[in-house]
Amino acid sequence: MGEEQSLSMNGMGTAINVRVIEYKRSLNWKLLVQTWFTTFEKICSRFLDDSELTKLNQVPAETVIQIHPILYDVLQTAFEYAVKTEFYFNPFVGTIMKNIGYTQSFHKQHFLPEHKENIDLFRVPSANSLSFFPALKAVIKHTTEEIDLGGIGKGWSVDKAYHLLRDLGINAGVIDAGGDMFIWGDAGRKIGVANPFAENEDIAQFFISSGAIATSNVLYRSWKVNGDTVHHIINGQTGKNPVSDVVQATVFAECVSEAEVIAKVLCMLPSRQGVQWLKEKFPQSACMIVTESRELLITPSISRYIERLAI
Amino acid sequence: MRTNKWTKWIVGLGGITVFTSFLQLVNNSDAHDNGQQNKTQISLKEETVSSQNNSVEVNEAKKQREQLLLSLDWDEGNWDVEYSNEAIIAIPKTQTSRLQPAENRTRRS
Repeated sequence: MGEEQSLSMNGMGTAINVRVIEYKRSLNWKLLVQTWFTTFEKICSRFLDDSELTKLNQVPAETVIQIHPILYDVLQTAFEYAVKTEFYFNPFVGTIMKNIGYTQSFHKQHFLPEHKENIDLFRVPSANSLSFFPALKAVIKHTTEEIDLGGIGKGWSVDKAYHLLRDLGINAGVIDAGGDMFIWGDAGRKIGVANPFAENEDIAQFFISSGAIATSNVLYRSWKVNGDTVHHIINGQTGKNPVSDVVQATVFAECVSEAEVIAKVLCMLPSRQGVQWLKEKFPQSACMIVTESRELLITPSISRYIERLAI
Repeated sequence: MRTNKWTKWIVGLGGITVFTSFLQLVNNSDAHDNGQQNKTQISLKEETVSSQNNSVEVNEAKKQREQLLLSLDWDEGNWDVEYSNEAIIAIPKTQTSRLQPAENRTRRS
C-alpha cells in the first residue's frame, strides 16, 4: 500500500499543492515537480523581464525567432485553441492587459495603475498571425500584439507535471495550481467548488477519480480603473472585458489546458449561450456555471467525470 | 412477284424492329421503376438509420441525465432544480449555500 505524500510551493503567481500516493520511497518526485514549475515560470511568464516570452514579445513582427522548446509547445497549443474558439480565447491580449494596468503578477500588487497606450489599436488576430517552424522550434509573429499565456500556461504546466509523475510510476495523485487541477488514480476524491460570492464556502462538491478541472472567475482578479471595475478576462474578439451574466465557470475536460480555455470562454458568453457553445465545440467536456443571480447551470455531460455531486 | 417478296421482307424486319424496341422500352421502364424503388428503399433505410441514431442520442442524453439525477444530492430546502436537454439549472431559494470548504478545492485562477 502506498503512502500519501504532499508538496506545497508558490509559483506562477499562485499556490501549488501536489499530493501523490508514492509506492517507492526512493523517488525524488518533489524535486522534479519543483524544478519543473520553477523552470516553466522562468520561460513563460509575461512578468519576468528575462523570460523567453518577454524576449519573444520584444522581437519585432515578421522576424524569425528561435524560442525555447517549452515555449514553442505551449504557444502552439494556445494558438490551436485560439483558432478552435474563433479567437474568443486569444493569446494576443498581452498589450491589452498592459493597457488596463495588469503589468505585474496579481498577488504582488493591490492597486493596478491604468495605462492608455495603443488602446484603440487592438486587432483580432487570424489563423495566419503566427507561423511555426517545428524543425527549428522557431516562430514568426505577423502581428504587433503582445502574447499573454496566463491561464493556459498554468494549465499546460499542470498537464506536463502530471505526465512527469506518471512517467515516474506514480499512479494516483492530485496536482492543484491555484484551482487548476489534475486528478488521477482509482480512488474518488472530494473536491469543492469555491462559492464566488463567499470564498470561504463551497457552492458545490463532487467526487472524482480522474480528470482535469479549471475554474475562471471574473470577480477575483478585478480592479478599478477610473472608477470602473475591470478584470483579467478579455474577450479575444473585441479586446474588451466581456458583458455576461456568468461570474464563474468550472470546466471538466481531458486536460487542464483545455479546461482553462473553455472556462475563460464561458465567462465571456451569456450563460445559456455558453452551454450551447460547449456542446457544439467541446462535446466531451462539461461545465458548472454560476451566474450573477446565483443560479447554477450544470451540463449533463458532467456525469462523464464525477461520481456524485452535492449542492 | 419480285416486288411482293421485298415488301414481305420489309414488313417482317420492320415488325421485328418494332417488337424489339417495344421490349427494350418495357425493360427500361421496369429498370427505372426498380431504381426508383431501390432509391426509395435506400432513403427509407437511411431515414431508419438516422431515426435510430437520433433515438440512440436521445437515449444517451436521457441516460446521462438519469445518472446525474441519481448522483445529484441537494438540499431541497435551498434549491429549485430544473432539468432540460441542455443543462440542469439549480436556482437558490436562499442567498448562499452552506457547504463547508473541502480540503481540495477548485476556485478562481
